[in-house]
Amino acid sequence: MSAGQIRLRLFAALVAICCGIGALIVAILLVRGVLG
Amino acid sequence: MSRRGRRFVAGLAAVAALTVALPAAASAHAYLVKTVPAASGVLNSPPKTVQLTYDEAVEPRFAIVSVTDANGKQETTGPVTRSPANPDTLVAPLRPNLPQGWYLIYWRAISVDGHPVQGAFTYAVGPNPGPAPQFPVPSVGGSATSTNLLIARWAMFLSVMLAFGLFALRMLIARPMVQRVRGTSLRPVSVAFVIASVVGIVSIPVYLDFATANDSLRSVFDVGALVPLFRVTAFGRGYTDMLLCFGLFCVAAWIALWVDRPEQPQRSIASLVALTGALLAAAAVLIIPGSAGHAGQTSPRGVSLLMDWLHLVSGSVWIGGLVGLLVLWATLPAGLRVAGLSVAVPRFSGIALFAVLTLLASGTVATILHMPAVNALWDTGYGVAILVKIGLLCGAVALAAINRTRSKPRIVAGRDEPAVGEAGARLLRRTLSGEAVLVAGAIFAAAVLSSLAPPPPAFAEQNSAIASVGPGRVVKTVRMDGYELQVLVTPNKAAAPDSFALRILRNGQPVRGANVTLTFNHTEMQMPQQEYQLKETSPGVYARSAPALVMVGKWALGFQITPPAGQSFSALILDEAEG
Repeated sequence: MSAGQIRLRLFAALVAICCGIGALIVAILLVRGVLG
Repeated sequence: MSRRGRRFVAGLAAVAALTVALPAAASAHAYLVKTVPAASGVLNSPPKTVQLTYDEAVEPRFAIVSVTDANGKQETTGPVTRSPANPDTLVAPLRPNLPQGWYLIYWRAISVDGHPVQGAFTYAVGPNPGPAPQFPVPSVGGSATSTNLLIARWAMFLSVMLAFGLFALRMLIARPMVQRVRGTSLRPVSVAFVIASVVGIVSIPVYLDFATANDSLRSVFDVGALVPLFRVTAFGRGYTDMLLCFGLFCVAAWIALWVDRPEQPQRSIASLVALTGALLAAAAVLIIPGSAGHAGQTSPRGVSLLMDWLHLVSGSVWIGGLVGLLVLWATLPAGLRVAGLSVAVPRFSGIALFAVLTLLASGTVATILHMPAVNALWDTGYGVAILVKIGLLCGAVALAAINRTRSKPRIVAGRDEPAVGEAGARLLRRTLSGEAVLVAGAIFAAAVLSSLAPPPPAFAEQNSAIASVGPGRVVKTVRMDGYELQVLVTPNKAAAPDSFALRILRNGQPVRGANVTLTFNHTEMQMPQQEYQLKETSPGVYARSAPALVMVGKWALGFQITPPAGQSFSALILDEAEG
């Protein structure tokens, strides 16, 4: 695997973790609203 | 009008009258707490508007306020708006200078959890409105459980749960198969996951469209009008947030699949980071249905939400794993099938056992939180849906037990004895198919369940009733704590001024000077409690006339009796009132 491919995969992984954290923030805000 | 129609009118009028007359109670559903004009009131001059105040802010774009005269002629002149002075108040403009006579106000609003609530009441413009007529009721739908909506809800839950379960099987459970059995591939499971996730992304907005169309009484194809309404209720906001989170999960999960190399025993940093992102997003998505539904409105809310989340997580792992194993069974090369399954099945079996136990435990706790009494399980539609779901899950657990005790050992033994392994694989396919169908059926029962309103806490009161009476005129004598109590209810009709009387005797002598209060709780619908003081009208007889049975159904009549000498005590009578 070339260095470029490795960098691309790492970048994609960063996108994925950002998606996960983003979804978590949305859910936490929603639950916080429900729990008051 | 037919008998059923009259009962419907009486029921509507009753709900509204009760909710107008009494303060609001904490509830998942919107309560009407005040109206202008007042229910059953006679005004000297015609009102310019109708104002309805609820215990929560309801959305005017989903609300209907109809004002009709005795001929059914509509008297409103414009759309319902929110009062600038009070966000909980809806205002409907009326035709100016309405003539003398009686008018029916029918209203319908959407509660925070997406359930429609409705009611009706009358008022009159005087000074001589004449006798109240029999009103025709406007024809509008009010159900949260239409067939289309149920199927859309089921398809959404099934696809979303399948997507999570297939992802878990591919990334966490079946991954070692590729290293241990050369020539096998998890690609078909990945493809199944991608299909489920795409169906999920489509099914969430479709369900939201159906639900919004149902709430706003529009066509499901009127998308241009419906989309702007998606986020105007808490329910709609919850599901648009779910769509966003599920979309983020799909991006993260597709990346995780792309960077993962199952043939390598150790995951790369990129694979671990992407997998973590996808799992975080999955965890986030599965908390949202509970937040937007019953769990978010059931105390203690934190426990309810946790139980709902655990229920969905474990259900997802179960259904996704079953379908994923069926996909593996169908796509593994015949010569490698037993070898491949001998890796995947034991790993799934251990996790599935834990998931099923979690599912049953969380479902049990949630049922206890939602059910006010055990007999609510068979006496209410909500309870029956739970029983159907339990029955389907019991069937699935029985098949899972066959898999665990028969199929799995044979498949594992198939590494040394191919014939035994083949027989085990055939049995596995049959039981997995049956199990998947039963779990999918249980998810449909869950879709029905989450569309119904849970029974009210007052339901439990009927179990402590010392007598059941009605329908029709009531004359019932009961003995309690040395007292003889004679209960009289006349004519015992809903939405009518009934007379309630209690004769108290001790040793055959009337008990004079007692303090007697009578409380009313409807056992089938969540309504605020009414309480009346009874007056002693003759020696030992305490009575009051009141339109308290404002709706047909079973009422818990609670007499609180404090004799002038002696301990106070209470007697609960379960009374059925007809229209």
